[in-house]
Amino acid sequence: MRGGGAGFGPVPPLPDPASPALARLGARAAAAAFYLPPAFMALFFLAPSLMTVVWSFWERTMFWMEPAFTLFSYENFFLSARFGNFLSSIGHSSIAVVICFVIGFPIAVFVRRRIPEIAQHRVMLLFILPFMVSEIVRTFMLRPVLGRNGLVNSTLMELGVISEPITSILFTPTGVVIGEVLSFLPFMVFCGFLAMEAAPRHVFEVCADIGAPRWRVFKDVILPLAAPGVFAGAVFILVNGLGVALIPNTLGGPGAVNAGLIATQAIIALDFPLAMAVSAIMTLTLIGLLALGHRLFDLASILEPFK
Amino acid sequence: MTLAPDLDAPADTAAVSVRGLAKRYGPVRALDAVDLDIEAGSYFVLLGPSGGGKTTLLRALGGFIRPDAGTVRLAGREVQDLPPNRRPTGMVFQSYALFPHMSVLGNVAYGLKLRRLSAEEARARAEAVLARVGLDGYGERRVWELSGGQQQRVQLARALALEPRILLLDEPLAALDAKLRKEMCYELKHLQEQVGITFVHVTHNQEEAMTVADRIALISDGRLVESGAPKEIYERPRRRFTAEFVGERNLFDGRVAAVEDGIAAIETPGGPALAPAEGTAPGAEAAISVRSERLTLSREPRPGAALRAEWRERVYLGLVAQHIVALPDGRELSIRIAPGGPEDAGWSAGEPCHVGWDPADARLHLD
Amino acid sequence: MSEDYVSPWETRLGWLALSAVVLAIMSPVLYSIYISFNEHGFGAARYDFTTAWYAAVFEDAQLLSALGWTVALALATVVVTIPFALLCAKLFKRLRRKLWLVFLILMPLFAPADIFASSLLVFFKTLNGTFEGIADATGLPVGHFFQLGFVTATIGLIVYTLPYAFVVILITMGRYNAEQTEAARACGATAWQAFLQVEFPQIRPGVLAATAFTVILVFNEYVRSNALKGGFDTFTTVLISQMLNIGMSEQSYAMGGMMSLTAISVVAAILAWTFARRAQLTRRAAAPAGN
Repeated sequence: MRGGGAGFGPVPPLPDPASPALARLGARAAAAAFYLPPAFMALFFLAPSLMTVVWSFWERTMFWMEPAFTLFSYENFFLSARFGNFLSSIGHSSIAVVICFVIGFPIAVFVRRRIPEIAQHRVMLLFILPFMVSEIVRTFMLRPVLGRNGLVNSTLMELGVISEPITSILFTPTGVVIGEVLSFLPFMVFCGFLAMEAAPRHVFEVCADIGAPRWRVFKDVILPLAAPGVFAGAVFILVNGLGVALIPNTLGGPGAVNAGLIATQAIIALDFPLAMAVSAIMTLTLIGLLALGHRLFDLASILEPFK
Repeated sequence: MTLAPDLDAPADTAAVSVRGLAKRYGPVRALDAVDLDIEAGSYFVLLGPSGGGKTTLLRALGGFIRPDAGTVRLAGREVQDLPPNRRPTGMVFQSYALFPHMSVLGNVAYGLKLRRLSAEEARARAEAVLARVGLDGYGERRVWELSGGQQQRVQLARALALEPRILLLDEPLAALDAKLRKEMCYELKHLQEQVGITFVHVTHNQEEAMTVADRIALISDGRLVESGAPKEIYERPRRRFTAEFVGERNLFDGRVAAVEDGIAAIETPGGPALAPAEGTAPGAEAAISVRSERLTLSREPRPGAALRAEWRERVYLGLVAQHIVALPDGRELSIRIAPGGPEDAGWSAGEPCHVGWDPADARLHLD
Repeated sequence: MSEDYVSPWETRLGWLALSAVVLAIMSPVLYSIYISFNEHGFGAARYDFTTAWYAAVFEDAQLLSALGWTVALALATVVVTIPFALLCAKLFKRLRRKLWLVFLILMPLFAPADIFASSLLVFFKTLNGTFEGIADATGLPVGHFFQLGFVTATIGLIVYTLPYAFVVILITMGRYNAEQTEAARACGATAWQAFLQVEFPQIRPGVLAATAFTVILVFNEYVRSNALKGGFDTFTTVLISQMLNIGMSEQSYAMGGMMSLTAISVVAAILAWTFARRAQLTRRAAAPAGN
């Protein structure tokens, strides 16, 4: 440095890359690498999901299927005896969505509004906890809880509330709904919380200052804010309620099915086009719901805090 | 609008030379064909309103933004394809951008270690630079233990340790309070004089710009509006925007009504506003500006320009007293007077007065 | 907080409801852990504490081999998912129009396990069929590509875990001041050096959390791994087949207990870490500042 450097001499230059051509190639490869994960997802998620539509029109063979264009698997599905049960499963999932909203959303609002910011994420950790326990464990372990000799019945009988064990909460549609609610409730809480996290806390303080009545605050402020999150949560619960075979399989009564179970059983029976038909219906429904949600509520805004 | 490159700075002494630089973000033109020259060893300030493009320009110099068009020459070399680490520039950031997981010494020595210096030499150099910025002995401190001003100096040390030809400063004083800002202004100026390299400093604060700059360039709407030494910018701005942005000026828009003896006149409701015509013909659309400290306030009209006005109020600012008067159409003018003088006292609201100035103190702007 | 005027009873009620819900959700897990330590299993009149069932798990050779496979799957998944998640997070921050990326990366979160597993299963079988055709026609040794096995199971797990890792890392990166990367570049660092030396040390906790999360997700996963794995067994598939065929044996409870206890410990560890971090940050903020 001019004017009084400490006599060190000039700073040496940066080491040159070993070979400029290689460095340029490396730079271009690095730039391309960023697009590797989305390409991976496009290949191994999007492509198979969309191909189900194509495969659903194929014809079944003994062990596999062959290219064709037939609506046979769709007929098979819609006209089968199980279709009625499938429709019931839509009803069960819908009930689960409503229950999750009624229980989970107020909790999300409570956490966002009434708990100090520092503690909010810790409380969210409490809801991540069930996620970390395997879904299969949680679902299977509902049997000893809801069964004839299970925790619920033995506790209620010990407390003298009932004299006979309740049998309608396991291996029944009720059991399925209970299973779905307990499995997916954390998701509704997350989504509601995330959606409201985008809005700063002082929104609520302003409402308090204005002196707005509570139901109006809820209707005009909280709901619209949380709408994208609630919608995302609802879609998740509905689609997973329909698509996870384990829950009706473990907790449902005889003949209880949902789309996921039909698909899995179809694959075991080597009826691949049927499985593909069910998957295609579910995939298209999912994409449709997400597109609708984005148009109505701008779903992507949930990620706002991270931009 | 482009400005011809400075003719009094021959090409080989230009540390920074920008031609036709352009950058768009969607429909917004952040930079619109900017031409600029910066002389080596000078303190150059990019001044302008927020969002006007000055930070974009600085970042384009540093290599953090890839321009859509144009060339950038640093120390004679074309660099627009070079990444930031390969340019002869160092950078100081508004948010300090210090590395919290390293000590102060670690921060300053970071670039030196990248250049494969031995640990002892890097340490010795880093400590020397720290001493130069006034942080002798702070090497082992952690970043969060320092005040804002100290963190700023660590940033400076980190950049200067690498002996760049050009130091880029992105609103370095924005986060400091007023008093500290003044001190740091002087320190930056002295540092630049000692070290002798080119400083390019972005700010929206005029006082900061005037304190440190050898030359100021006004950037607004992605364009270079005007450039010149602080005295020129302040006392004889060429463009209307400059007159509006720098210092406190009173502006009169309109058409040149007449030109007499080289003095142009623009009609206002209170009388003619006068300024040196500098070759402008009558009928041209123009604006006249006068600095508020060059206006005189009196009960009787004085020679030179004199407008009739109505006195409104007085604001005491400590160093000056600011008098607000209104022209017959309601437009307000601002006059700054030393407090305690004969013109300062005894006014009452609504009292008629005259505002005057020496035409030589006014400026005529065509755009 | 302007919430000073909120009735404390309302807050207490809220906490009560919250705790009740968490407890209800966790009750099957906690109950099954309770049972797993009982010498006499489920429904027995007596309760004698024992760890014998857990020991039995470790003595079962089939189970240990399955555990080994699960560990291998977890490692293979993490090695791909975490770098992918980092790349995605950086791409997300850089892009102006982000919708397509969000859609591609997050949609698998919504895809139910069985549906996704069937479509990927058929996809791999089709691919494998194509490669077998190519092998027959050209003699190239590609006939075993995409045969159901370790690789296909890993691919399915990567697709499953990437959204979660992405979100965790994105949250962590949110706290990082990106100007530090630019400062490092201005000091002479390449993009890679800037990432490794400046950014990564600061997002490391998030990356570790994402890694732990991914490992746990893989260990817990059943449907996708089962469909795509081919010949070997994983921990969960052994557990499920036992439960479905033999019923809820004491060993099943122990296995379930192991998985649950691991999950609870991890969450407890993260919780403890957040408390420690808050204490550290408070100490830093209180540190004396000079002029």
